[in-house]
Amino acid sequence: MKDMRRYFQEKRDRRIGLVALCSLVLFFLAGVMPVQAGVEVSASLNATSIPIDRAAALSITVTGTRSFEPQMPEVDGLQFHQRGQSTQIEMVNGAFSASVTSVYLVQGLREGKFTIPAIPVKTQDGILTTQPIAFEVTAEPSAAVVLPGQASSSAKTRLRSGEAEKVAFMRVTLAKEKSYSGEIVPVQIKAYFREGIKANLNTLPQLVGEGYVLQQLAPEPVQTRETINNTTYAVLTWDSALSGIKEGQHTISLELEATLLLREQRRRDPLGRSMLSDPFFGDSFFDDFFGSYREKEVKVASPELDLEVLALPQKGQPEGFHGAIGEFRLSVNGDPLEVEPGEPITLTMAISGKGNFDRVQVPELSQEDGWKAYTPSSEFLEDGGPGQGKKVFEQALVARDSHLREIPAVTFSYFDPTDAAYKVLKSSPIPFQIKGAAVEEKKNESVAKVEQVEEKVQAEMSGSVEMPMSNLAPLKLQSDEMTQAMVPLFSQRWFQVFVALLIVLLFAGTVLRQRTVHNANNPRLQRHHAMKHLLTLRLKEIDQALAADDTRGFLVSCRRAIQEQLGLLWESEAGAITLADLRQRLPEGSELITIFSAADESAYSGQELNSQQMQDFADRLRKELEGIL
Amino acid sequence: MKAYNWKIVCAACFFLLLVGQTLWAGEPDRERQFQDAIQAYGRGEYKAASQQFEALARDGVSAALLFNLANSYAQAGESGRAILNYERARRLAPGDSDIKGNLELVRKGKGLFQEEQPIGQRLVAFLELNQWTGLAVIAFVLFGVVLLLPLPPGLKRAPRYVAAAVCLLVTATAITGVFGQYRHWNDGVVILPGARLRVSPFASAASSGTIQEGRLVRPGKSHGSYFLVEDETGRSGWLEADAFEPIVLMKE
Repeated sequence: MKDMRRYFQEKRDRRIGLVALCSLVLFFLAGVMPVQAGVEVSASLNATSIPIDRAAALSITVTGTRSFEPQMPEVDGLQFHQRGQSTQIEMVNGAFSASVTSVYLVQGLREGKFTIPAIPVKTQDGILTTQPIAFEVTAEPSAAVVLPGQASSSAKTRLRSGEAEKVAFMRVTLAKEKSYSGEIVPVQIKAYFREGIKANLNTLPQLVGEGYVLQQLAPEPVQTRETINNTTYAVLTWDSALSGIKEGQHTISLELEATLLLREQRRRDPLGRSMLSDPFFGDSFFDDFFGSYREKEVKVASPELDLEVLALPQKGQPEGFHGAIGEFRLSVNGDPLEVEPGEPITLTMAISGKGNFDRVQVPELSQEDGWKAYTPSSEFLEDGGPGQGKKVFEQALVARDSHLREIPAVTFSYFDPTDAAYKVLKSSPIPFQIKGAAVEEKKNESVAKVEQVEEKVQAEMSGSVEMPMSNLAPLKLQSDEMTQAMVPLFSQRWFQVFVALLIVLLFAGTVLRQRTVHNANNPRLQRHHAMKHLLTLRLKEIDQALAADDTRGFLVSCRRAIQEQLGLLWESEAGAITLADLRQRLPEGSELITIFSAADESAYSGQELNSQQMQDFADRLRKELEGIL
Repeated sequence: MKAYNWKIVCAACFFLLLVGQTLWAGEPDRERQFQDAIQAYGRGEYKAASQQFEALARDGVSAALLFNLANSYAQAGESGRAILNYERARRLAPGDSDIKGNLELVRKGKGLFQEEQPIGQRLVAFLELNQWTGLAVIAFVLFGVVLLLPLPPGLKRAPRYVAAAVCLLVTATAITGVFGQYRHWNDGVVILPGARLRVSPFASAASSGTIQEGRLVRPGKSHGSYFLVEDETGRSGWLEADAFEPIVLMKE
């Protein structure tokens, strides 16, 4: 029973081991399989025709990735304003797919037909492009236009501040009422809901009015409590920013849609008393438990704000101004500053502060002669609220001229709304060194004529003006073994045979090892091998004694052979087996008893055997003992 | 009639002599051409050197020959062909630091920077295809040896199993590396300056941008004389077959 239990236990262990091994293999296979999620990009405009003073929403959606960077084109007569990004992750049949949508407001500055060209979108898999989109900017307002934040006609109750403080209202705090076109104005939006009222937000606060755009709001606002006029309110706060896009006076407000869960009063008895009006049933717990609720959809609106968008002054606008408005600082560093000829230097330019970072472009090199500048990368790191943070540009620069000793200064222009003036930030040049440049300079001076001739010859031969590369490793002077084709190692026949042999060897080794372990655990088999081995040894001794005509030695070997074989067979000490044991346990008339008896007699009486007798004994003994095996 | 036979015998002897001489002189001729090309390179005649190395490569290639050919192209300003031949040389001699160093220099010189790769791809790129293959085999052999060799007396089983698991892990990693590298085995290199990627496989199709000479591309499906390629930065488009060459040399 115990053995059976152990057998099943071992079988179960082996099965668990097998499952674990399969899981390991599957894990590795999963790692090996290439992950190829197709990245696709699309763009859509929510209107085909917009009036000149309105905007349409341009959505750029990239599926199969979680981040991307559209490179917005510059179109004469159109302005793009970024509204924000949203990410969506879906799981279908166990496969995850992510899509990111970036929304821009497209504003027409003049009438006419426009085409938004293909927009390059930089993703982790490379640069993809959207399809061009054609649309029209008209003079008259278009019925088809859907403005984000525009109120739709509905029978919903509008709760404006000052009208329904008892239920819900909104307040908007703006940093200033006059701002420049494109300037980021921090705004705080607060939605108040009287405590005790259960409310579900159907939308985030939306801008109502023209001339401004509102930055994307956080889907989860900060929740606090405030007491106003002895009434406690649950307050939702969003910190965002407004940006003026159209010069002039504008009236705007913010509103959000919500569903309020209002409790209806419990039915009262005809005498005006509550059915459960005693102190015990009058508890608020029973109010909650027995009272019924009804849902009411409302629009909560803020008071209207009168704001003005100012035009940027044309006077004093510096060259290279790209529309950055705010307060900025510039820091620049280069790495490495000791380079091999042709090795690129990474110039890191960080613009920090507060302002419209979407208009912050890469600072410009004051001097580009002798340099090869590559397209920079940029990254915005938000820090401290809307419109605050740091935009970092990294640009690879390669010095084409070995005489260069410093990385040129970079300049960045912006408009400071506080001082109402344009400002230009300029870094100082950064010294750097090209390895071996000093040595080459001397060489140039001393061998200038020769080099000129060589250059001329080369130009005639190749028609190329490329300078030879001086720092390449020299040629190999010996051609090694030739090959006709390039074949991967695993596709070569000899390698396949080698691996097949290895697998066969491993398999054979495993089988051999299993067999050895099996034999080691089988006492019967071990005994059989031991008997066979000892018998071979003794028969060899017997043959030697026979050849030497050594009767005594012959009989001693015969006796020992019988004792060893029977000892192993009976699982007893070989030396302790006597003639009496043989007579007791072997059948009467056994040849072994005769031989053993003769050996005993010879040992005590010194009886000798002739060759014929010895040969006869040897044959009979061999036959008997081999029979036992 | 006798004179006729005599003429045939003479012609046969002459033919055998010619063939024998050609065969016998083949190797020294090749060596001499190789040294001539090196001398041309030494004189700064890079174009001539590349032509001579190119002529030698038609009868078979070696890592050294391809390396010299690549150097000649690099010095002659043909960065695309230089990178192509460095890549070919690297396939034959993956551990050669000269090849790797020169390839990096030429790529840097042409601004062919590789974008930051995920850690998995960096691990795969740590060794070449054949090196991963060799590692897989060695780790597999060690796995067998560790499991099958009898335990020395006094040694417990646990270290044996740990060592076997490590060998198995290395084998699996190496096989992953083999798969990862084999994906790039059939890559090509853009050899023409100013080659254009097109949105569809026709000469009249709109261009989606230029692809830099020396860029590694992975060809996919083909249509007419165009291949749908994806470059190392992830850009894809249709590229004319003449604009790039596969790195791997096939038997003709």
